[in-house]
Amino acid sequence: MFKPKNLIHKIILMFGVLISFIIVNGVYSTAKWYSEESEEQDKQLDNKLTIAHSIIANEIEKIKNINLIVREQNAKFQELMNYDNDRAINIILQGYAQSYNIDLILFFDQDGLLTTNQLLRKKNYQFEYQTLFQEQNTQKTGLELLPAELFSNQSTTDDVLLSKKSILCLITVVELVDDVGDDSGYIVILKRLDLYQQLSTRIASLSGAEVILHDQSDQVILSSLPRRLFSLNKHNLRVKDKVFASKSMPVLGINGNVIAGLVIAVDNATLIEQSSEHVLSNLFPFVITVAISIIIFLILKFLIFNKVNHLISILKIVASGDLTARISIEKPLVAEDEMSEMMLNFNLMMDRMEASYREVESNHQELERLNKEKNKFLGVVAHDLRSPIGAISGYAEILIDEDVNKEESKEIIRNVKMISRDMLLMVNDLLDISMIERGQLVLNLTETPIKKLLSRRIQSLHFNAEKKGIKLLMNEVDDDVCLIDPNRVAQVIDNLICNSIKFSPEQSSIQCSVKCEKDQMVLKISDEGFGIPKNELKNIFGEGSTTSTKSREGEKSTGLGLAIVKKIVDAHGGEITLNSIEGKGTEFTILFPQALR
Amino acid sequence: MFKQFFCFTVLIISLIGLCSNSLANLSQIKIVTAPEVKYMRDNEDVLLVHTLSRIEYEIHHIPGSIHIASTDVKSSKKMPKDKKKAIVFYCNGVKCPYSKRASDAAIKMGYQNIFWFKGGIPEWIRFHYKMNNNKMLKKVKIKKLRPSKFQAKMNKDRPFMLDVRPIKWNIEPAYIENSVFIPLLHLHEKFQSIPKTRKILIADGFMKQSSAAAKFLTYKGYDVLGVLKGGIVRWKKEGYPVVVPK
Repeated sequence: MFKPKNLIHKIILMFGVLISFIIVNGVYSTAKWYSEESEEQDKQLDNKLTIAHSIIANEIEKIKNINLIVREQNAKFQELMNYDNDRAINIILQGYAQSYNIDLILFFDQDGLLTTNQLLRKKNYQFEYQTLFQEQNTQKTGLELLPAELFSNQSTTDDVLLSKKSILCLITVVELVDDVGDDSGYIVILKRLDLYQQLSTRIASLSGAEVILHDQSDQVILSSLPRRLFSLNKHNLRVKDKVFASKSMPVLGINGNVIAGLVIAVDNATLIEQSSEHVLSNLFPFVITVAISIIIFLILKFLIFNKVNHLISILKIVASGDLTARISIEKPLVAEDEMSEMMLNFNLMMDRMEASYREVESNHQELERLNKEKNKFLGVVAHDLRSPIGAISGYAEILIDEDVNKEESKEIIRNVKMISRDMLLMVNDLLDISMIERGQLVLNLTETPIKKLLSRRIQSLHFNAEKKGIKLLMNEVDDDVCLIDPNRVAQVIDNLICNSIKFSPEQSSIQCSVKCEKDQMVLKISDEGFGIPKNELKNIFGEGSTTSTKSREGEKSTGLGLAIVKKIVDAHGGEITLNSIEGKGTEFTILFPQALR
Repeated sequence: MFKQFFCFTVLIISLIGLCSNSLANLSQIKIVTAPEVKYMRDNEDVLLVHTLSRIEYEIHHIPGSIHIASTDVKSSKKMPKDKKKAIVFYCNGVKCPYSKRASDAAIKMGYQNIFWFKGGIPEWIRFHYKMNNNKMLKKVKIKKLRPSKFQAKMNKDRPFMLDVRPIKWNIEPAYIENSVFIPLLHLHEKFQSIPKTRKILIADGFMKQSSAAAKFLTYKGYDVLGVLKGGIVRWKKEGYPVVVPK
C-alpha cells in the first residue's frame, strides 16, 4: 500500500480520488443511459414487430373469414356439382374474387382436378395443385410461398413482383362436403400478400417503421423501402448510407415451418444523434469539474506548497546556523495574504533575532574588554598601594628596631603621615569611581556663583603650584550664577588643575577661565605642559587611563582623576574636549549646559 | 252484483288457463342449432337421435347419438319411457324431412321435451364439430357418374340396376327401366338378395341416398360401378329414358 509522506502527495492522492470518482460517475451514468435507451429502442422495435406481425395475422384472419363465407355455401355448391354446372360455380367464384379482392380462386373436384381457371389449363402450366390441399386439414389457412407464374395471367403492373420466383400468398382451402361426409370438392383461395404494395405501406405507416419481407434465400418479397437502398445478407439488413436498427421475426407457414422472414427497421440516425448529444451534455459538467479541480490544485500548489517548500528550505539554512538567510518576497512591505504575511513576519523575526544576536555578541566583547581593563587597573592600584604600605611598614620597623631620637622619629612619622594622606586620597578617588560606576552619583544642583567657586579652588591649590613655581592665572571670569553641583564641579576643577600642575614644567603658568554663554557654562583650563601623546588621547578619560599612576618626577596621582572628571561632566549632561599639542601644552574645555534663563 | 263479477272472473281465468295449456302443447317442438345441441349433449341429459337409415348412421353420426329411423319412432324400444326426457332429432339438413317427421311422431306419442336440430349433420360439420366416422366406410371412394357416362356403363356392362330412393318419395315417380327398388332404409336387411356376381349401378331421386348405398355395398364386397349424379331428376331432365308407373 502506497503511503504518501508529503503533504502535497496526500493532496495529489485526494484530488486523484476525487477526479477518478467524477470520471467513473460520468462514464457510469452515460453507459446506464445508453443501455436504457437501447433497451427502450429494443422494446419499441419489438412493439413494431408485433404490430407488423399482427397486421399479417389480421390478413390471415380476413381470409379465414372469406373461407367461412364460402363454406356457408356448401349446399349450393353441392347442388351445382350434382348437375355438373361448372359455369355457375365459376361465376359464383368470380363474384367472390371480385367482392373480396382475391387474386386467384381455384375450384377442384373430388378427384383433385382443376375445373376452373380455364386460362391456366390452356397454358398447360405444370403445377401440383394437389399439394395445396393434400393435408387433410379443413382449417388450412395461412401463408404459403407459391410460384409467381401462378399469377402470371393476372393483369398487374407490379412487374417487380412478377420477376420473383415465388410470392408469399395468403391461402385458404374450402373443402366441400357431401351428404355422406366425403370431400366432394375444394375451393382454393389465394391472395398475394403484397398486392400493389398496399400492405407494406400500411404496415409501415401503422408501425412507424420500415418493413421488409424476405424468403429463406434472402429474396425480397415485399418492402416499404426502395429495393435499391438496402441489401440482405443471411437475414441481416444492410442499408446504404444509413444506420438502421432492425429486428427480424420468422413468418410461419401453414404447416408451422418458417417460410419467410419479417424485418422491421427503424432509422437509427436520430438515436445516435441524441446519444451523442446526451453524452456531450452528460460528460461536459464532469469534464469541467475535473478541469476546475485541477486548476484549484495547481493554484494551491503555487500559492501554498511552493512557498511552504521555500520556507522550509530557508528554515533549513537558518537551522544550519546562517542567520542572514531571508525569504525573497517581491513586495516585502505589503502582506497580500496569509502566506506572504507569514513570510514577511518571518523575515522581521529573523531581522530582530540577528540584531539582538549581534548586540549580545558586542556586549559580550565589551564586557570582556572591561574585565581585562579592570584586572589591569586593579593590578596597577594594588601595585600603587603596595609601595606606600611597604614604606610605612619600613618606617615602622625603623621605629621599633633602631634607636631613633625624637627628631628622627618625628620626621619618620611626618613621612608616614604624608604617605598615608596620599593613600587616603587614592582610596577616596577609588571610592568615588566605584560610586560613580555603581550609578550612585547624585547631583545636588544649586545655583552657584562660578567665579567664587573657581577663585576658591585656585586659592586652595595655590600652595601646591607654588611648590613647582607654577603660576595659576584666572582670566575672563564672568561673575555669573550657574546651576551646577558645586562640590562636584570643584572636584573637577581640582582634578584638572592638579593634573596640569603635575604635567607642567617648573616656572610655567596655568590659565583658567570660566564664562557663561547663552545656554552653557564654558570652563577652560590650559597649561604649558608636555601635552599628551597622540596614542593616549583616545583612552585619556578611561579608568586607570593614565599610562601609569606613577608620578612624573615624583608627583603623586591615582590616575583616576580624568575618569572621575569625565563621569561628573557626563552626569551634568556636559561635554569635555581637550586640545593637546605634545611639548607645548594641553587645553581642556568643559561645557556645562544651562537651562535658558 | 259481486257474485256475478266473481263468477265472470273465475270463468275468464279458467279460459286463459285452458288456452295457455293448449298453446303449450302446440309449441312443444323446439328448434335448436348446432352449438346448442353440442352444449346439451355435453352438459345435459339429452337423447340425440339420428333419424335416417341404418347405413347412413354407420357412415357417420354425431358422437353420442343413437339411431332410430323416423318410421320406427312409434315402435322403437330405444325411445325412453320417461315422457319428459329431452330428445333431439336430426338428419341431413334443412331439406331433409325425416327429423321433422320423427319429432312430430314423438310429440304425438306424448313426449313433452322434443328438440328439432333442423340444420342436422351439415350444420354440425360446418361448425367443425367432431363426427363419428366409420373409417372403413370412409375410405371407400365412390364414382359419381353423370347421366351420359351412366348410360354408357348401363349399355356396356349390363349391370344390376338398383334404385334406393325412399318408400314414399312423391317428387318424381319415374324410374329407370329394369331397376330393382330397395329403399336405403331397408338395404342393410335386404342387400343379400342382390346377386354378388353382377356389377351394380345405383340411382335414386336426388343422389341423396345412392352414395351411402354404394359405399355400403362396396364395403360388403359388391362391385359398384357408380352412382347416378344428380339422381333420377337430372336423368329425366336431360332426356334419358324413364319408366313412369301408371
